[in-house]
Amino acid sequence: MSCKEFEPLLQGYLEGELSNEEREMVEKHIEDCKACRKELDELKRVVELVSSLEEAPVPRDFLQEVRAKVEERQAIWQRIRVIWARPLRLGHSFGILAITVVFLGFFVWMNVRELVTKHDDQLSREDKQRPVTIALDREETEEEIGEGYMYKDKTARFKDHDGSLEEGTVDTVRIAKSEEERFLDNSIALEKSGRKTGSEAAQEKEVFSRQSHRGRDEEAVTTTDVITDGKELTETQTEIQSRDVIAKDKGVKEEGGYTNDGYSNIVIANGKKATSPSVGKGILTAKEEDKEKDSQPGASADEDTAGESVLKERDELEDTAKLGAAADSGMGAAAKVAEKPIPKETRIYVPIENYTEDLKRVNEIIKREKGTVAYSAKDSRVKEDEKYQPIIVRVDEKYFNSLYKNLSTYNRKTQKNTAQFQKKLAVTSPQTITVIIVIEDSAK
Amino acid sequence: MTVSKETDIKRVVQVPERESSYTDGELIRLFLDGSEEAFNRLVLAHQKKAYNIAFKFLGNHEDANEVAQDAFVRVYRNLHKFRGHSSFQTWLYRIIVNLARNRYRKMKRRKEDKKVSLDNPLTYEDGESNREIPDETFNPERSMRSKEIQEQVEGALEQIAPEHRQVVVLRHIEGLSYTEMSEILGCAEGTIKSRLHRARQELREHLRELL
Repeated sequence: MSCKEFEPLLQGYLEGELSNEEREMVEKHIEDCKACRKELDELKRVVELVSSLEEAPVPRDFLQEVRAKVEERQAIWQRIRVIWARPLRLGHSFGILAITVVFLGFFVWMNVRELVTKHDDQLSREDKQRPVTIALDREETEEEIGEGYMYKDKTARFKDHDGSLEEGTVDTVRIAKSEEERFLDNSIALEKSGRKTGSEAAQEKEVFSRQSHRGRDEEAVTTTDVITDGKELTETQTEIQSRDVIAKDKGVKEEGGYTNDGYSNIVIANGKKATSPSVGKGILTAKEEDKEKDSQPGASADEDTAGESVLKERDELEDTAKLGAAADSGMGAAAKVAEKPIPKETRIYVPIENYTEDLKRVNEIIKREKGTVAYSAKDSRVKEDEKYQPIIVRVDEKYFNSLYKNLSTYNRKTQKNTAQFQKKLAVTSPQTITVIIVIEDSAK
Repeated sequence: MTVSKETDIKRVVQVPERESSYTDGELIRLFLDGSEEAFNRLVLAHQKKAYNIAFKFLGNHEDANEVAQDAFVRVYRNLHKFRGHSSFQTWLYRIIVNLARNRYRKMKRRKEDKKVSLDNPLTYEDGESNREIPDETFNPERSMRSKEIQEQVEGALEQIAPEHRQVVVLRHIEGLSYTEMSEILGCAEGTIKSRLHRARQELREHLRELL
């Protein structure tokens, strides 16, 4: 037997797992073979050296530090209570919930971006997950602390500050206030701030309830309706419009089917934060919206789809931009809106019916609209858990609007009305692909 | 707030005193019944192993401390999911291995950022001076032979591939069985054996002067 053949036996010998017969063979061999004997001795010595390493003393306040960390971590989960509806499904058996959660200020936003762009693969393992924003409840506002996913059993996952994957049960989930409640809150707040009279508020309330009722019936409610309702637009009335869109969402949700339209809720959530350039996703604040409407009454809102407020607002922005460019100083307000920069990064959730087909088409749209795919899962044969990684697209600012519009309407417009598609979405939700559009500086 | 009340109640539940020490299983049950004290005992019982494994995986105390602490935080938060299919120790080790793996990647990135070449001379205000490597061979303060050996072995461990280091630590320092190791590392026993083999050969090369 050659030394080479003995090699595995030497290892077994060292580990003490040879049969008596084998052991004798080895012992006999090393008696004669100097090289093997040397190797065995050295390996024995290596093991001896390694196993004689002294144990390092544990830092004295180890336990205290563990406890402190535990408490800190617990505190986060205990405070998470605002779950804000995002792509939402009201299953028959689950009376409610679908969820959006929330996060913390600006600095976390960076983490969020990292989370979405880099770690989505780790997060999107389970099928029935739902993207959520995780937020802490703070008196009247929410403090965003992360973005992740939440599952049916109310466990949520998100990346925390140091990038480690957090998982916990959001057991203090509180359903976000109903749209009506929120609307009334808003009215009261506005009233307090002295911006309108009580009768105006009452009038709004009426308008609102009418609209939400209509929304529930899933009728086409367009923004134009609202505009014609009001003789002259006021700031608060513009707010009604955005509420209206939400009301429509609500209507759809209450039908019990899943829609992708829950996103308009994000609009509201983001609208609150739109002052922060880092989180604003091109959402107009009520005030800006107002100006816009002033400048081009009736020019917007050709959409009749529930929950396409994002799109709608985008369209409006686009139209206004055109108007603003065409008409010069005469339309001061419009021009002002036109100056509003397009956000650096915008996210679109594209509903997916057939992965391969849809992905192909989405890619075609991107190409056609002069976008460059910076990142996407390689091909349709990717593993199940990698499938829904976001696609990152770079595009020049001037092509943004058209790309955005095309992606936003994809599958929603063509298929939204087929009951089959709705049903399918309800079953396979949330089959969406996130497309993140990053604006490329045209100067480059 | 109700939440803090619950926490208070949890803390009040004490582990009853008794002569013999508690097993992991008993402590886990007590903890799940609401005793924070039981968790503390669990930490105290395993901290040394946890810390040392992390230290041997990572080679520095700062990262080892973080990883070991985080591992216990994870234990705290996931103990209710622990089904006892493996021993608590195996479960804990698995957590540490995973955390250490992530941490190691971070460390590597950090190192690469900081990497300074020895060929790049350091520039001083009064001119140039080559970076000097302290010659430790004749350092009288380090006459303690055993300490020196210890450091050499630790140094050698740091130089081998992390997956090799893991198997050596678990096998030859912690004395675990192949079955336990395969549970902890999530790979087949055959893989572990061959890694162990290569690891020992690598160490043999690095420790040649001590053999």
